[in-house]
Parts: sequence; structure tokens; C-alpha cells
Amino acid sequence: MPLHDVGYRGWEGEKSSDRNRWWIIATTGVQLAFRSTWLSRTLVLSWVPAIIVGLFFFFFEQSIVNPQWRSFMQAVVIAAGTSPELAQKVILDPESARHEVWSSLILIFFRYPQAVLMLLVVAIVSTRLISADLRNRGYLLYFSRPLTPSSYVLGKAFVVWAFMAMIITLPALILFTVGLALSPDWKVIFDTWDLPLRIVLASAVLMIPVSSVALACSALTSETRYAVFSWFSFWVVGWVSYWVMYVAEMQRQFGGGGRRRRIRGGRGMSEDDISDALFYTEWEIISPFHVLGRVQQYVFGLYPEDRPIWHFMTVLFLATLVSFWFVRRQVVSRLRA
Amino acid sequence: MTAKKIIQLEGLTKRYGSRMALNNITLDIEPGVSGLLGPNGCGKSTMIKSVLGLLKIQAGSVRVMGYQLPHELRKIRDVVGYLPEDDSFIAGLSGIECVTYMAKLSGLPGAEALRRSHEVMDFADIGQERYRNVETYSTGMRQKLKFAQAIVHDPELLILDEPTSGLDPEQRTSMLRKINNLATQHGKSVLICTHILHDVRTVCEHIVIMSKGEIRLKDTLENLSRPSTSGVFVRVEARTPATVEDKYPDATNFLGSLRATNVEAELREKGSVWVSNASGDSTRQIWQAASAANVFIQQLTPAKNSLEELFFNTVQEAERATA
Repeated sequence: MPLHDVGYRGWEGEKSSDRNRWWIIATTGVQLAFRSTWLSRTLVLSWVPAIIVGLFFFFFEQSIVNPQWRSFMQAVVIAAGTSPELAQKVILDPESARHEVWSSLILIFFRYPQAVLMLLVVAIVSTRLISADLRNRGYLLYFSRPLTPSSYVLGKAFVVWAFMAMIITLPALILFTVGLALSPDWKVIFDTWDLPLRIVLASAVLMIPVSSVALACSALTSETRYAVFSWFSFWVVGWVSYWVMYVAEMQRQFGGGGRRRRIRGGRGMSEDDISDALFYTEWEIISPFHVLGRVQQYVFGLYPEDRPIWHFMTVLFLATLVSFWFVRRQVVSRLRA
Repeated sequence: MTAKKIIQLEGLTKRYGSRMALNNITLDIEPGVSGLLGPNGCGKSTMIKSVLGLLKIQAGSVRVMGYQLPHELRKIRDVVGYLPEDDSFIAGLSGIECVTYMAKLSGLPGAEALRRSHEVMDFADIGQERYRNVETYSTGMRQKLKFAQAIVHDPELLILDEPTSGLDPEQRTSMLRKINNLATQHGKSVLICTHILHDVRTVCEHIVIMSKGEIRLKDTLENLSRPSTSGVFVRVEARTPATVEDKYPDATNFLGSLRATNVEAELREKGSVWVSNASGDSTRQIWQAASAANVFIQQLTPAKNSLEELFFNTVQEAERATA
């Protein structure tokens, strides 16, 4: 029993605008997701790579004033798979290579540690976002209120964006700030002023398509475990298919053997052609991981200017569009069942 | 002056593939508490979902509280509170969080949404359980929770789909009392969709009976309860029964005495007589006949239309017509 039962009373306050309803779904979704202890652990873990990459920023900036550090940085740059010209520049004139090295380090941060952690975080956060509502018929409560299916999907997508921003955008921006703070040269600000914008853009390139696919997996079924399975399958199948086709393509072009032997096997090809054939194959388009990587590479200004990027962008755009359409359709069709 | 209609349907048609769920329904529902009755699968829930704009209709027009669908859908959802029949909840939230969340989605500002949620949860008889996760709630608790979320934004019209399902008798009475309170004390209009006739008889002023996707009957409960014949049911008791079994005697003597005074009557079960076309004089004649037959009158009840009878007759007629 309540301490002071007032019975039913009317309510005559002013209601908020219909336009911010998606924000309520988003904030509640974020609060709800934070209750998962596994998510909290993964979020903490996701900041560890930022510390490691931060150290490389420090080493690089030190190599500008301390030439003895340059050979170490050159090894790092070569290991990161950047161009031989950049590795050369790191030794001869590191200051002129600053923008490219910083961009490469941030891209590596985006592409490898954070991409793997993103798979885990999004699996924890997104897979139950819609599937749980489908299972518990929460959609009847949502849509008996002034809420459109689009606002609902936007609110749910924002939950995924928020967590992706926490593990990718925010650490990358902090990494950039730490890089500035650790640099002994004030000119670093002028050399790298555009990087925060590129970080935000590269995050958007990652977050929008990934969230749409994640929500599509969640809307696919009312069973969260199937949603998790479809989420990982989406990436694994794309990635494995790519590697199968890549190896087959290399076999066709250069014959068997290891990478060095394959390079030697490239009959009548220049070094650039061989490098091109090794690093840019048409089969990348079947792997979501590689497609995202190429577009992010383009955003950081590291994608070769003479190679087309439009087909990767088209794939991302279409995947996003189809996924969001599918999510909306699944929600609406449940209502009409 | 005619009362403002809360729901106006005109030629409402909804098909699921080749199956006609709602067949050209034209219906006006007046303010107050209305009961939408019908057997399972007759189209009640489809009609409610159409009214809320959850379903796309094939033809017809829907107007709720003066707002036209689909153009003013948001306004309709602003003024309507809906309690779905299905078990619906937001997983992971506690009861209070769930109702607050729904209040915010209806436009109540943050702190006010929380205050109001506590208030309606008190009203819905949800005590400390409100702090528990909704997934741990019993069916009855979930029903109360759905009721709380339906009224949290103080809607003008409540659409309650099977509001008493899953409640024990005490809770059921309490729920009906609350619905009645909302209607009589706070001017809410309520549309109750149910097949529990007792609930309808307890709170409803208007009755709509649906069958096979069509409206079969619509009237006030008062009119429907008015007897279609002017008969009286009389039950007599022996003055000095020798044993308990003899308490209700064969009423043949009583029937004979009645017929002797030109009253039309017939025997029913043991000790009971049905007096047809009873008038004011008949009552006096019944008492006289009882005295002559040496029996007490234990019960004298004027004829009444039973809602159950009316419901079954209407539904059966509809089925015969369709066949």
C-alpha cells in the first residue's frame, strides 16, 4: 500500500515534442545496456589498445627531435603495411611524414583492435535491442504511443552508435589529443588539424552501416541467440569468402608458394603492379570488413588516388539502406500480424 | 444535442489475405464505458488495432475523439491509453522504469514522468514489486502493469483488451472498480474488449456485440437487460415439509390454483412456475393461489433478458446466417 494513497488524479502538464521520442528510446537503451557486466568489462578492455597506439604517437614525435628513434619508427611503419615511400620519409624527414604517420596509426587503431572489440560490443548491445521487443511484444506498448517506426529504429540505432563511439571515436579523439600533448613541436597542430574531422567521418562510415546490419540481425528473429549467431556469421562468412577468393586469385596470377615467391612469380609485372595485385583485389567487395576498411582508408587520405572507391561506397550505402528497410519492415509486419 | 462520439467507424474493412477480418463496419461509440463483446477470432482485437492505427485498413474511415485516421494518428495516440491483450513488456526494466519509460514516450517530462508513474502504480495496486524486474512478474502483476502504463499519460479514452484476464477474483473486482472509478469520477471513456460477460455487466453502459467481423448488436445495457416478455418466475416452498427433500413440493396444486384464476402459467423445475404475461393484478392472484395451494412463495422474480442468452443468440444467429 502506498504511504499516501491519492487515488487517481488527472495530469495537465505540457507534453514534450513528438520529435524527441527517439532520444528517449536511445537514452533508455543505453542505460539498459550498461547493466550488462560483460559490456562494462569489454568497454574497459577496449581502451587498452588506445594506450598502446598512444605510445607509438609518442615514439614518432620523439623521433623528430631524436634521430636515433627513427629506425624503430620505420620498423613500425613497415609492419603497419604502409607504403615504402612513407617508411623512407620517416628516416629522412619525419616532420613531412607526420600527417601520414598519424593517419596510418589512427587507421590501424580503427581497423584492427577496435574492429574486433566492436564485434563483441555490438553483439552484446544490439542483438537484443529489437529481438527482445519482438519476443515480449514490447512493440505494442511502443506503437500505442505517438511514435513512428522510423523514430523507434532511429532510437535503437543510436544505442549502437553510442557504444561504438565509446570504443572507437572517443578513444581515437583522446589519442589524437594525447599525441598533441606529447609532441615537442607546436607545429603539430597545423600539420594534423584535420584529423579530428577525419576521425569523426571515419567513425560515421563505420557506425551507420554496422548499426544497420546489427539491427537487421536483431530484427531477424525474436530469439537473441539467433541474432548473435547471424551477427557473427555476417562478418565471418564475408571474411572467409574473401580469403578463399583471394588465395584462389593469387594462385591464378602468381602460382603457388608463399608471398615472396608469389611476388617473384609475377611475370612481366612491375613492383607497383605486384603490390597492387597483392593489396587491392576485386574480391574485397564481398567482405564487409574489407569494404569498411577501404572507405576508412579513403577518409584518412591513405587510399591510392588512382584507384576507384565508388564501388565500396555504393556497397556500404546499399547495405545500410537495405538493412534499415528490413528492420522497419520487420517491426511494422509484427504490428500487422 | 447529440453526445460527442468517441469512436466513429464508417465502412471499416480489413482483410488478411482472402480472410475478411472486418466487414464494412459502421459504428459510433458514445462516451462512457462500452463493452465490445464477441467470440474469439470475431475481429475485436483487429478493430481495436485499426482504431489505434496499428493496422492498415483496406477501406473505410476511422475517427477517434474527433481525430481522423491516418492523418491525425499521433493526436489519437496522445489521447488514447491502450492495454493490449497480449503479454507485453520491455525486458530488462523494473516495473516503475517501464511505466516511466512509457510516460516519457507519451511526452511527460522526465521528473514528472517518474512522479506520475508512482502515482498510477499506487492506483493500480502495485506495491514494492514495482522495483522488481518485469520479467519476474506474475501474470496478474503484468496485467496491472499494463493497466498502469495505459493510464500514465492521463488519456481521455482507454481501450482495454481483456483487462481482467489473469487476475484472481479479488483483483478482478478491484480492476473493474478502478475502471468504473475512472469513468464515473474522472470522465474517462472506456472501451472494454472482452468475452467475460460478468465484467461487461458490472461496468459497461453500452454493449456492442461482434461476430464474424461484423457488428451484430449495439445498445445500452439498460435496454438490453429490459425483459422482452412480461413474465414472472415463481418458486414456492411447502409450509410444513416432513423432510428436507419435501421442502420444494410438486407445484401442480399451485399451478392449478393459478389457472383457476385465469393466469397463464406453466410448470418449470421442481417447485417453480413461470407466469406469462404477468400484469399488476397477476401478483395479487399469485399470492392468492399460493395461499389456496398451502405453499409459501420463496422467490418472485420478474423476467429479465440474460446477457449470456442475448450474446449466444446473437452469435448463433450470425453463424447461421453465414452458413
